Amino acid sequence: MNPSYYFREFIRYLKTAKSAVFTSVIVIAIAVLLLGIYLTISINSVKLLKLIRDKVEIDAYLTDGLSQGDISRLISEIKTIGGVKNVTYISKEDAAKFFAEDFGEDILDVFDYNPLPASLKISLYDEYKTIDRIEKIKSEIQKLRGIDDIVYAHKNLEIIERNARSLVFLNLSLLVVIAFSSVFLAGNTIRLMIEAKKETINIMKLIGASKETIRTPFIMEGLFQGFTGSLLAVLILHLFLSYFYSTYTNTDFSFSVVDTKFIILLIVFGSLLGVIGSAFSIRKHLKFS
Amino acid sequence: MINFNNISFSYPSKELFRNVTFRIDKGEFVFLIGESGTGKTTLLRMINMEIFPQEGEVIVYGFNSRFIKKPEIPVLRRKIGFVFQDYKLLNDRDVFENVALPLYLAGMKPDLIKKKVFNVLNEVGVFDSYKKYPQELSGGEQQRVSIARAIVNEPYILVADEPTGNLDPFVSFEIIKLLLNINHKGTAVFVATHNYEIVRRLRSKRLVQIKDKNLVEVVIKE
Repeated sequence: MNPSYYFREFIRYLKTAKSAVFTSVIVIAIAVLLLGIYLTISINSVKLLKLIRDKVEIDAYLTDGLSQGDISRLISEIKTIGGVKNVTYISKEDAAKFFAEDFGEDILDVFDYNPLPASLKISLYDEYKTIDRIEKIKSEIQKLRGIDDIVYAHKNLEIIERNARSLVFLNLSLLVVIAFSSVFLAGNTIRLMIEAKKETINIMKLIGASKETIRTPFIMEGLFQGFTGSLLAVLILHLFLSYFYSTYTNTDFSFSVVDTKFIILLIVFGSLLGVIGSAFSIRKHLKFS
Repeated sequence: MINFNNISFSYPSKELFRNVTFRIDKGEFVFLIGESGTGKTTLLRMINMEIFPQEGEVIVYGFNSRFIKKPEIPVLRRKIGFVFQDYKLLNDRDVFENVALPLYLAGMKPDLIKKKVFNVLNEVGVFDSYKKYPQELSGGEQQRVSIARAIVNEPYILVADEPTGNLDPFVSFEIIKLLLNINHKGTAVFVATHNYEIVRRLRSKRLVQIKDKNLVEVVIKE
């Protein structure tokens, strides 16, 4: 079959069913947009949780009056504990500086002396940032001489651990629901469009058109609708997320927006939606006897 | 050319054919008559392999209904010209494009398609309407276009299912005259009709009738 025939038929189908094509493009755009919004929220929520977890550190407060030698020994001992990545010494003076940065006031103006203890800031490897593992590390540090008290963001970790699983479950459930709804919505719109051309398909079959000859222009039409719809969705998503990017990005958290890979993924998804929707919808009309 | 060998066919609620054997040879003109519901259309659809007999076989140009593969059905249909009572023209394309369609399906080059389509439109008498859409034509004109589409690919046989069913007597006879002309050029023609006036006027032609679930040859006396 001459390729120009397919192209002409494809253009004819587009021209004769303008409003149906428009509806189908919009439906696919909505489906892809829903998926795009979902993926963006999902990626950013996972990123946010990771950020909170990354910031988890142990602060070990030291008893007063330790010598430089005691502190060096403590640091070496803590570094040998499994899971410890790095140990930084925060002197009483450093602690006063941080206090001034955080609260805008000199500690010596509040009290007559500096009550802030010297401490060791202990960072951990990612896989050790769970309550169970931190508790074990904490108990080992506690045994060391010169340690007064140990604190870490127990509450934050508890929230993350409690919600991480349900977040993954919620994400997967939503993904399944959105993917199925998208396929159903787009497939149904395309099916209605092809139903409207049932008579044409039937006549084509009667005068000797092969399955491929009938199917190809419809597949091209599906690809066009899918591609146009997803392109539209990507544009809307980009505008929408640009707003979020400027509103929610700060020094701590960079809101991830549509990148090239993401755009390609959405356009491939939309195009496949159109092609598969058309292929499935036309299948039942292609029986020859 | 076309053989029905011992075919039987029933719908769930009605038996139509029992052990029917029938043959159409090259260049023949055959009328098929029978009361409504006796199976004229079903018989024609067996030639196009839309319907298969439950017993026996239909052989059309070597394609056997018992062994034909699905991808071969369009190949067979391109060798048969089919004319329908309701014309079955595509409303989304003009007369030229409707008639050209079988040639595109056969993979013919555009130059040749143009030449052949204009020749055949001239032959059936609707040359002037080549840019019109089916809905702009009268019933008779639509049937002529449908005939043009059926013969443009020079089929071995032209099968017509009640081609005059929706037309007035004058136009009906014009259509039959057209079918006779096509037959004179060597194409076999098989026409199912209940227009007994036309059948009577062309009594020299072969006539078969569906009777008691079988096909019988009928001779009309002067």
